[in-house]
Amino acid sequence: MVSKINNMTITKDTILKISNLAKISITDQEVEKLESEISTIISWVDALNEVDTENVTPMSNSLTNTLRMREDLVTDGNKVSDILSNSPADDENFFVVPKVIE
Amino acid sequence: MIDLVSSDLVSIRNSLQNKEFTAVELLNEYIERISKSSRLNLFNTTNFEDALKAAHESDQKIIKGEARSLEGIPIGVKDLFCTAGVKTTASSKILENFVPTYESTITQKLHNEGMILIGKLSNDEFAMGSSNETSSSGPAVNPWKEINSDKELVPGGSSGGSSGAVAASLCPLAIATDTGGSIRQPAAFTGTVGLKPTYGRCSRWGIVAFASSLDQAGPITKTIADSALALKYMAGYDEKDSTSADIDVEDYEQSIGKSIKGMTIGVPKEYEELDLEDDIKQNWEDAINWYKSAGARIVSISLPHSKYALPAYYIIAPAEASSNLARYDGVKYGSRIKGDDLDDLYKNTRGLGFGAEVKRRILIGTYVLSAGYYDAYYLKAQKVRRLIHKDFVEAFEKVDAIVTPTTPTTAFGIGENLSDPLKMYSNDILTVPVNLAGLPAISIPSGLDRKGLPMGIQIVTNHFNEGKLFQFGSVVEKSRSSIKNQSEWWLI
Repeated sequence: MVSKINNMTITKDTILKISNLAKISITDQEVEKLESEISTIISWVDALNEVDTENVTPMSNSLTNTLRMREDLVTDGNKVSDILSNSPADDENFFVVPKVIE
Repeated sequence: MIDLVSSDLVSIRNSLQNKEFTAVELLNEYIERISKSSRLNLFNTTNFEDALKAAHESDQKIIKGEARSLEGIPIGVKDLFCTAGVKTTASSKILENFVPTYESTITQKLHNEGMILIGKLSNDEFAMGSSNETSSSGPAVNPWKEINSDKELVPGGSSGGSSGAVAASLCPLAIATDTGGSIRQPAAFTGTVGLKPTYGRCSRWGIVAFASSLDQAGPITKTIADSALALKYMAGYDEKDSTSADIDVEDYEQSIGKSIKGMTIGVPKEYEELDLEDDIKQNWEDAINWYKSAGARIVSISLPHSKYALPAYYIIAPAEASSNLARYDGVKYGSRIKGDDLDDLYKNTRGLGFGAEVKRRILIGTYVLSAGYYDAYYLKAQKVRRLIHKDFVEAFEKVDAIVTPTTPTTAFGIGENLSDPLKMYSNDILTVPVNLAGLPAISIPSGLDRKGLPMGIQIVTNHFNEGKLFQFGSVVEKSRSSIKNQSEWWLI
């Protein structure tokens, strides 16, 4: 099957929508630049539509073995001060963020 | 005075063990040279004070006859490996003050053998780039220049600090990572040896994650013998990395210089149609002739899906990155930019903390994973990845190694490719397929082009056949003409 199925145009709204999903604030200037750059890149990757992938299993990594399981045992812990040592704001062993519930 | 320029990892190890100089003397020479090389902007952080303490301890061990395998040898480490108590920034503003409380498996293994951290080396922000220009600490500079030119060149990327530091003799070994070519391309641009082991060969634990199904750690060194020595102590199973391979580590040093008579080399016909610089094409032909003279059989092979590797990579890698970099939210660690509410805090932190290239890749990744596009892009790319992998599997039924150039061009000028992402991405056209297939590959310096800049030959072998990389690599190392950098213009 060789067809251009994606062919979606990237608009300013697309950029605003995905930057909201990715939780990244961007300036008006950035929106414009990203719109043109990402459009170029997405139309370039559309070349993949030329490839017949009927009945091909997706490959998420190159290893042939399945991921290992291990016993569900505690092997590490009691490192509160380590964990908090790089925190931008903390109080009584909690990370502090702006109020979420009014 | 120790001649650092003509020293390599193996010669330094031998000299230390034979007590020709002490670890402290060696370290002081490196510190002096690093201080004189600040124009290259290769180090994000230096670790001189702790390194001196460690060197004193190493000297005690050497005197007492308790020296470990790599006792007292300084290493540079890409600023993507977590180093306990030493700042680890990934060359990003968002991690500018991050000090890990734990050590990556790879650096720990090397410390266990007596190696000493001399400093953290610059890279493209979060390892995203091919020129080391997107680092928050500014572009790293290649120690090489064109003949009769003052133009400053990129050292390649993303591991440009690592390749530059080894090329400028600021450390005998740098530890780096390769997701789409980030070890091999910088090695080719700086006349150094860059090894990307098989996916799963070296532990990824404690390395700042970019694209987890592609990331792999490896050494940058001056020689193949150095590369084999470093891999011996880096490779191996690690239960802390769920994709680490439980496969025995070979004695890689034994492969060096071993005859390749009667073995088969594949030359991918699709690569012959790529837009390669004339000198690089010629150098590739030369390399094939060196192999013929060494008794190898040369066959033409086909990797029919190779032209889709780069587009597939630029879906898969950003998708994985958008997921991996979600952790930088200004809450648990890293820089925080205040906001009116939590959502605002996230957006401000990430908007100001990430650079342009990283933001673009996160957004592309978010797009290809978002509802309605997942099947068309992400799943499609993963299917194409399967076909690329299959091409290689079939090729390795017929050949022992695949030989190609590492890069389509030699090093370019700082700023030259920054405004054109697709042009920048095309640097990795010969290296990316290897990561998608999870194969091991090495870039070996193979000569100088007409501008006097280093070129690299890439050798690819089947999964977990690193020994053969060194075996085949030796032929290039022996046959090429001299690649000595004639000028140390950067020293102050």
